[in-house]
Amino acid sequence: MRKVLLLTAAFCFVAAGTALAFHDAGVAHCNGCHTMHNSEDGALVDPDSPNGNAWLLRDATASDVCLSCHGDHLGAVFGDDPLAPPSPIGAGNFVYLLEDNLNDGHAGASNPIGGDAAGHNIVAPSRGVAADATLMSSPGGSFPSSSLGCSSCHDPHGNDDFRMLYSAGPIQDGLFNFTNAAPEATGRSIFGGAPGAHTAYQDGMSSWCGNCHGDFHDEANGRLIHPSGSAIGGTIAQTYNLYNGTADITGGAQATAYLEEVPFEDAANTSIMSTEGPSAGSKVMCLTCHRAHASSGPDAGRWDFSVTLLEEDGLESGSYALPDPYGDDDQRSLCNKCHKKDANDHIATP
Amino acid sequence: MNGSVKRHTPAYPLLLRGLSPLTHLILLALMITSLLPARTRGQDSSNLLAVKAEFVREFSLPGRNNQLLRPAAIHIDRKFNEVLVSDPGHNRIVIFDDNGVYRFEFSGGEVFSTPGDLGVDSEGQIYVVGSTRAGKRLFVFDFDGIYLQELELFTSDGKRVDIGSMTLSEQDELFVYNANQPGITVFSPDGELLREIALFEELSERTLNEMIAGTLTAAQGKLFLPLPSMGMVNLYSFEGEFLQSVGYKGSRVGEMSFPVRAALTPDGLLLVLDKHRHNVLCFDQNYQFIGEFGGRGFNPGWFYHPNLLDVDAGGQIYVGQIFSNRIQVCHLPQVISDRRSPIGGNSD
Ligand code: HEC
Ligand code: HEC
Ligand code: HEC
Ligand code: HEC
Ligand code: HEC
Ligand code: HEC
Repeated sequence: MRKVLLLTAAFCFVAAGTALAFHDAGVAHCNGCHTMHNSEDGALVDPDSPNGNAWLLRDATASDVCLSCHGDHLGAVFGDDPLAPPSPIGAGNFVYLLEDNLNDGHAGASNPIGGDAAGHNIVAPSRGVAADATLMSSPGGSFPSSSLGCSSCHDPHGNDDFRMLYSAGPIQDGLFNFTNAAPEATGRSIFGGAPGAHTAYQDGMSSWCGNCHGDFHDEANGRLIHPSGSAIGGTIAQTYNLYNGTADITGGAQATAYLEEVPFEDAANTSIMSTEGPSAGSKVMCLTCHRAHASSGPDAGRWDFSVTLLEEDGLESGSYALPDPYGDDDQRSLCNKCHKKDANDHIATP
Repeated sequence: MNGSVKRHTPAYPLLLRGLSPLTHLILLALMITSLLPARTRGQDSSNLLAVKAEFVREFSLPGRNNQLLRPAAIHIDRKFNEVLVSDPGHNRIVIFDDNGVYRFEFSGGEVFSTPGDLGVDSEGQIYVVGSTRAGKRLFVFDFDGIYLQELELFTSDGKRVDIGSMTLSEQDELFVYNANQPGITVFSPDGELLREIALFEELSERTLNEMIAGTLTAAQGKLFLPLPSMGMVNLYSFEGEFLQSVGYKGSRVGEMSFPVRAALTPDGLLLVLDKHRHNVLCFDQNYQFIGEFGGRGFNPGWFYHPNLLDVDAGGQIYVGQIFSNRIQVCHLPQVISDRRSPIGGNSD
């Protein structure tokens, strides 16, 4: 703790050399977050619980500070009602971690899947969420769930990468090491944006998630065996482009085929307003199917993987129904955007 | 590193802008002193200004499996001596007497799914900001929790008010902080638009974007709006005239790191809850700092990221937080109340 304070002081001396840097990275800037480290300095701390109970790991509780600003404001990534989440920007909302049941599969009402499965359980006691109770570490990798927080993925001191995500190197004070670079993408402003704005993913998301998950969905892991980070090829690109919902499997066109719910990576994805579908070289990647933070479907699905018709989402569980982009009662799983198996849906029910 | 940090610049350095390089050096020197080992500094000089909370009791409900879950608001109705608590985890409002004894509760039922801010008018009607799939809305219940109606709140240009926070004055005027277009909209208890107060018109769009507002409180003829990211509380008249700011950004004794809520004691002391310093700052009737109590911890009398605050007619202070679903009742420590200035006089 002392170490942090002294380093802080040293940094500010260096920064003071350039007036502009001092303004932007000023003293006030550091203590926007660092009261958590130095609150002994200004306010009292209970001598009988300096580090809290075992649940409150020092690294992880940084998330409580981030959420003061980003929970209900500045991107609103942790709303206050899992049934009425703030409008999404890209990563999905952590509020679903508070759900008591996400299971909209067969007999889901009597076989609840708790909110832990909604996505990444950041340890944030100030919001009533603890580490994931079932997954002790990142599936496919070895990141400890008990240390998962905002600053496991985002660099709290800012950097030039997309959403300040970490690149290769040590993170969380050396707790873990990333081997793959930050993804390339452009996101909507956290201060708002035009309707239809979405993250434009360019490259490297799958390998970035792989920092903690390895090559998930290869044969050694999950129930679903699926490529990520590889080109989809001409046939699947064409399926995606023509697909305009279960009711209109071949009526689409590349210029308007893009679906925020089923995104893909492409170096040509430079506009957050683009409506253009993929080409043969576009890639399927982790966020084609998952949200980076959480969602109201199990396994952070961009749509609920366990329903046959999207319309069934929320019915068994009582959880928030993820909007159906096609607004059709008969719309089937969005895996069909690339596989058009609508007549004979092949999704396994977990 | 410079360029990188720039992308993540909250609004508060605003207050430092325009200072001369010399002033910066002085500020820096002050800051470095403040980084000296805490215990040595804190023990002698600040001991009397920063004291432990005087813990009275913690709220609990009858029955083991019936505790609050993520309390989202505390409102004390001083006229009827009742303590109302929003309990989002069970979608209900729970009412206690001022000894902490459970009285009754009512549910949001089909009307809303998560309760937030609360208010009670002079006739005992209860106002609840509830979240619905269509957004945050304002609902009215009678004094024993029977649902009466939704108040649809619109601004003069016909836009629905995006409720950031809501408070009710002793004169039964509803003050709503508009989250989308920063300002306060004032309504009668039946939802009729009375007046609109535009705020922060002088701030640049960027500063406005980055600014975060705490919970608005109407008390004893004034409006108190905490500005957490700027480390201060702004005071306005009920007509919307800016009166003054109290406090400044910092993390040392008497400074505000992340003030989220303000409340007045019956005799007019201003209390400000700091979520990041985990304590309550106290100011006298002239808004001079007279001490602070509490701090970070997990035992009774300590707080962890507290975000709820109110005071009852007897001057007992209620501090709430989501962690451990706690609402604690404290007394204002004697050393602090002794330091207040006589009414109308100067501080000593
Ligand atoms: C947005 C929140 C935030 C801000 C602003 C911030 N920090 Fe940090 N800082 C953290 C967190 C969280 C950690 C814990 C380490 C981690 O998780 O990577 C940390 C750790 C540190 C460390 C320990 C070494 C390390 O990197 O792990 C130093 C030194 C430090 N911060 C200095 C500063 C200075 C100087 C400033 C102002 C220029 C500053 N910080 C601003 C959140 C912040
Ligand atoms: C810093 C390490 C880290 C990174 C980076 C990371 N994850 Fe995770 N992930 C974890 C850990 C730890 C868990 C298990 C604990 C949990 O679920 O909260 C997990 C769990 C998951 C789960 C299962 C959620 C559940 O509870 O069922 C999914 C799906 C997932 N991650 C997807 C992703 C995707 C997609 C990315 C890239 C955008 C990603 N992860 C990046 C650490 C990470
Ligand atoms: C497992 C990694 C991971 C964790 C943990 C994580 N984030 Fe993110 N976050 C991301 C990624 C990846 C994106 C971009 C996602 C996209 O656009 O699809 C993102 C986007 C964001 C955004 C931009 C708005 C949005 O919704 O897209 C904000 C703000 C943000 N994160 C804040 C936070 C905060 C605060 C926390 C902790 C409470 C946090 N993140 C935890 C990976 C993470
Ligand atoms: C084609 C869609 C799709 C893609 C692409 C995809 N996933 Fe999944 N993922 C799923 C589905 C469906 C499940 C649930 C079934 C299962 O566990 O296999 C799942 C489950 C998971 C789980 C939870 C496993 C558990 O034990 O609870 C993790 C972790 C995960 N995915 C990570 C990733 C990562 C990392 C990537 C990118 C490398 C990725 N996924 C790419 C569809 C996908
Ligand atoms: C963005 C397009 C895209 C989406 C969306 C998509 N896939 Fe795929 N899928 C592919 C590509 C590309 C392949 C590999 C080429 C092939 O085998 O035809 C593939 C292959 C598969 C395979 C064969 C894997 C093997 O190697 O044996 C299965 C099974 C599969 N997908 C299931 C799913 C399921 C289930 C979903 C929804 C959860 C889904 N896919 C969503 C693009 C997609
Ligand atoms: C005092 C308020 C405050 C705190 C605390 C805070 N941030 Fe921020 N954050 C901001 C503001 C303001 C912005 C937008 C301005 C900017 O991008 O420079 C921002 C932007 C971001 C973004 C989005 C950048 C983009 O691409 O638009 C991420 C991600 C983020 N913060 C993560 C974090 C994390 C992680 C923490 C905790 C370690 C944290 N923040 C703590 C105020 C805060």
